Amino acid sequence: MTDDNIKIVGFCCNWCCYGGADNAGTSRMPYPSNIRIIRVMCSGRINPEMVFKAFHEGADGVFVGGCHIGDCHYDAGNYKWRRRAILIRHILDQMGIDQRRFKHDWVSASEGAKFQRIMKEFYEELSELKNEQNIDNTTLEEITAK
Amino acid sequence: MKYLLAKATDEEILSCGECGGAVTAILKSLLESNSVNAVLNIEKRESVYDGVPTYITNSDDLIKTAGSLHCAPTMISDIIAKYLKDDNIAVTTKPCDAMAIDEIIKRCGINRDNITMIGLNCGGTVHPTVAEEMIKLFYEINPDDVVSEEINKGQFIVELKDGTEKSVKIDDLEEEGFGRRENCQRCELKIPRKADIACGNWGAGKGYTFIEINTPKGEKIVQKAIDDGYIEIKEPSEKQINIRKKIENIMIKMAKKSQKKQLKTEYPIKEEWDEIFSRCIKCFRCRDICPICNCKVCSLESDYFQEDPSIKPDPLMMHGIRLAHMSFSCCNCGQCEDVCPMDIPVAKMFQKLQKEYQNDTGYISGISEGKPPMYSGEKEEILE
Amino acid sequence: MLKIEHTICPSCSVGCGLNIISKNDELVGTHPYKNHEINEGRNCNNCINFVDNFKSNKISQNIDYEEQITKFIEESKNLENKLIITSGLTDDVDLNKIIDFSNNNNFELATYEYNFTRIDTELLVNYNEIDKSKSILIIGDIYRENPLIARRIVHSKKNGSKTININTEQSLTTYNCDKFVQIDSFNDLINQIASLNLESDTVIIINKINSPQVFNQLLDLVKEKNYKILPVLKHANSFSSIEKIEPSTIDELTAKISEADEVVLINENPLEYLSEDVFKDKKLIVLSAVNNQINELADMIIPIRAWYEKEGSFTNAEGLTQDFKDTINDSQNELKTISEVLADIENHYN
Repeated sequence: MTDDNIKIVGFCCNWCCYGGADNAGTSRMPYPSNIRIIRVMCSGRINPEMVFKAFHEGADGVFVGGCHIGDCHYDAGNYKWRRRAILIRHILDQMGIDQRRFKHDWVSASEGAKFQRIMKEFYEELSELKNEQNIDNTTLEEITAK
Repeated sequence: MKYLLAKATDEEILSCGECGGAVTAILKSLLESNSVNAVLNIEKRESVYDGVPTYITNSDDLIKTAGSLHCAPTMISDIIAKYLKDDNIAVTTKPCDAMAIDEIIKRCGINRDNITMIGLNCGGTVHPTVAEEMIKLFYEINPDDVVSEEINKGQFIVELKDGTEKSVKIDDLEEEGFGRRENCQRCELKIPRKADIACGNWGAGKGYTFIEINTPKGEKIVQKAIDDGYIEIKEPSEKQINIRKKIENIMIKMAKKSQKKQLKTEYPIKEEWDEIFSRCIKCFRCRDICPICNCKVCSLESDYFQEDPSIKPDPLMMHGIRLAHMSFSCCNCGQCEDVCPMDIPVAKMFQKLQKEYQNDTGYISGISEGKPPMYSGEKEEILE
Repeated sequence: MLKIEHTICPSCSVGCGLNIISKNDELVGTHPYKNHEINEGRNCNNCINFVDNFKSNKISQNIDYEEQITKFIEESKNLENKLIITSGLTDDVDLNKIIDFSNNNNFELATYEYNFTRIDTELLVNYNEIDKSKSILIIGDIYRENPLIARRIVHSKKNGSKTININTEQSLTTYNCDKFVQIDSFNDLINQIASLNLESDTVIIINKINSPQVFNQLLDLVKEKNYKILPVLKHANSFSSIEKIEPSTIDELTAKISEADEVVLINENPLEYLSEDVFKDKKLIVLSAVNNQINELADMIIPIRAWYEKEGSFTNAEGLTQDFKDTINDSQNELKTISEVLADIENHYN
């Protein structure tokens, strides 16, 4: 059973990861329906603001998928993205957002199975995280109630 | 000729300037030989606590800018980038100014050929209102009686109207929350080696300025000032060079200690940051004053990042975006923190991020050669 | 030629310092005035927006001034009821001149000060006392509208003060206070405050009120309970303006306008609180340094010098008078100050 309250925003590069998601779909490999995929032309197109905006709008997790290093359709877009991802992690830390809520990986157009696996793992991680927080919140409420 | 000791030949400059007045004399030489159109320097206005950047075209006015002003934490790099981009000027640059100018040049905001940078060694500046408060408390004198101040051998020294001097150890001041601005305490760059020349009193001995020449242009301007009789020079001894090196190293060590304290052990925790961010009014003053932030169109103003002003602000939509845009280039000048109407420790957060970025990539803002890795098209190997 | 000079921010009554950057005698930007005791070089967006308006919206000088003055005198000669409306944006020198002018030349004078009235200086708290106070009551949204006062509240919170916000709606101030009391209308204000049982040295900071009666009741309460109060007024010189001219309420002002044949607006844009309709069929003369909506309705616009192009003084919310000087000092500037314009008109009368 999937918890529909978990929202994942996925930025997928047109040439690889989006193809990977497509491949998972056409090969009937089920993955959690919580992900909302936004197709971008290249992972190098994604800037930190987009990730932040997704969190601001209430996403539980943000996933960014690009081509494998070396396979970028535009030569070096995924290298640029990787550098940005490092910085994004530091900023999320500063802003008090759990790093586990942000994930990026390389998926090629033929790797439907990998896409499925990543989505499942990410979904499970996020529901675990949500449970942790819920426990935290309830204990907090109990304390304040007393 | 890498190091030399210099002093002004002009009597008036000698008496008004700090340690020999070589900086003022060199500026005068530049202006009078028409090597530059103007000089941008900090002028003492109403008191020693009131330093204002001033644009000088008449070399007689230069004398007003002579002497140190540690209580005027003012940046000139953002003024150049915003208003004097195409002007051929000479500027005095503190290390943070030199770093900021370097970062602006990397972003094509300033043409390096247009500016002559006379670097000033800097151990830190004091916020003027803090200075007045601390002079009342620790020196037990009326702040208005102070006619000049200097920092020497770890002491903050003030000279009074009647010629007497009073000094207090900076460490003692800083322990009580006074003294240098917090970002200055954390600053690791004491000698601006990206400037054409770097001037200061460390190791110079009384009445002289220690000059380190960093660029061919620097060598040219010093030579010209000597040839035209603006300054007298002598060679520093091995011992003097070592003293200077030693002071620099001690200062850097102290800065590292402050960094550890302010960015690690005493760094606000998540709950504290939540409270701090909840008072952000999104006035964008930190962006406006930031010397690195010079984009013509700012992301923060786009429609999709606007929030309802009556709800609690989301720091991601303001500081998050700014951090993503320029934290890797932060030169820790502390202006953002100085102008924040809500006392948000912005500089702390930015320097911490730049330090982390430095650990990951080795890029030191304002010092490393080449553009920040964030902008390069390089395909580097990183272990994931 | 680049120039940086000190001035005082005119956007609200806090009285912050500000440096004006001008290039070739043209206002180009602002710079922090770090040695200023009130704001220590910190300014808010109200200030910056206000200055930006002068950058982009200044009235051009291409108006034949002499012709304007003669026309003004010709047309208003035979009119019976003439009204001047000014505001707290006018500095002390000009304010005195306006008062003299209206007395000598049969003009009625009015201001609208957002329902604040004259206050006994004994009751006023100064800014430094806010830093140290233990209990603060905030009426309105200080955090958003007067951030440099809010900064004082932040300081007091560091010293462990208790803060309560009263307002008709939630705002940024709400999230930064220990307690929020929502009221349906400001008529409930006095009862609500009375029921809070505040400590005797409580500081009340207020920037919003619905009527002078309620404000006076509040002042009575402050006096009775030994509280202190800081009304944060709308404009830089509102404090003086209230001292010198009896402020009107919206209704009184509307009545005065409806009786008048001619309305002269000096440094004031009444469209911020009145509708356009009240000016129907009125002769409208505007003395202003910037373009705003009211200028579109005006029959005549006389451009005047902006505050940064002249000398003067403002009195801020805590009653401190601060001088400011001409930051541009442009000898070529042909614009006149309000005093000079009024003096010229008087000369023509005689």
